[in-house]
Amino acid sequence: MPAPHGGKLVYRVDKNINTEGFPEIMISGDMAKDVENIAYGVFSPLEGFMCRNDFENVLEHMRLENDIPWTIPIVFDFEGELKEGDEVILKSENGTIALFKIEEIYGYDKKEYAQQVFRTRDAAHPGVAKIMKMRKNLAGGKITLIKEGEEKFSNYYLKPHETRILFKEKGWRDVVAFQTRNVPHMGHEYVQKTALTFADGIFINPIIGRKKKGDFKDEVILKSYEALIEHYYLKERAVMSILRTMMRYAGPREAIFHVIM
Amino acid sequence: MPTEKEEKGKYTTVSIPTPLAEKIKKRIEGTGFNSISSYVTYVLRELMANTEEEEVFSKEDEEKIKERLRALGYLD
Repeated sequence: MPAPHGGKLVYRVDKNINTEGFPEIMISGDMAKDVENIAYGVFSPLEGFMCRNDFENVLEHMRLENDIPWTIPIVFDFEGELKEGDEVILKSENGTIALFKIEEIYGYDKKEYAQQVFRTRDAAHPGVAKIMKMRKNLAGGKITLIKEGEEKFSNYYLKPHETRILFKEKGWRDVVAFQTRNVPHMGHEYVQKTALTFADGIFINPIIGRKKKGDFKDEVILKSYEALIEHYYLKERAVMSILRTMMRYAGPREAIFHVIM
Repeated sequence: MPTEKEEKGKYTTVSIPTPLAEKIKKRIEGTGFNSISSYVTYVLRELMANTEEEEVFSKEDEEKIKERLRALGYLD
């Protein structure tokens, strides 16, 4: 089986950290998903929110500072009194709790960020609009997940270390991952069946998270794939597990980002 | 954004034998590689990516994960 991206599967979880005495910051549901994706290694080899060199390298070269390919910045934006060296507890409404050790605080140019990632500065683009609403400073540093948040569809949620063991148990070596924010259509079916002619199995990853208006509902995507796997594909060669992240709508950069995940 | 000076600091020079450079020059004709440097960088990145090692899980961790996979119906 191929090595994890960057050569190391990150796992930054410690349920025994005592959170008393640390300042707390409430984070959005989107950011909580980023925190959990970092902690569980979905974003390997990232171990935290990006510091300046990684952020700028990703914008300019689509690589981390250490030359590993990476196309979408994973950043923590804030306004307020944070300073380098601080340790804070991040909390979300759904119950995610993490420790964030701030290594670097830096400013950024929102228009340049949008232009590099989305090739436009037009605020009608959902990704650009999100950047324009971000707070003015970024903080980089490692995170450690203390408690996972409550989310829907947890029976479809496998973490990277679990999927690697699943593939090993199934005897899969070559696996094709198919990530989607849509219900399957004939084009998808054709691609998936073609993949099954040369791979040992197909790993279907519906994206569960914030999407733009008009996209399919998560429940509908899951039910449709459930039916496809149950009644159409050979069950031993198709597996579905959700990917909890928001869509960025960043075209080719996002396509590579999905490959990395 | 980085200045031009900072940008230059992200690259370094490596010497390779001239005959090899000539071979590479011929090989990249008509390809998407626009310089010997970009081709050599590509080849070296491929080579480095294949030598990095994966961490392994303990037997105990692996058993716990298999139990969860069975409970969710992913494994028989």
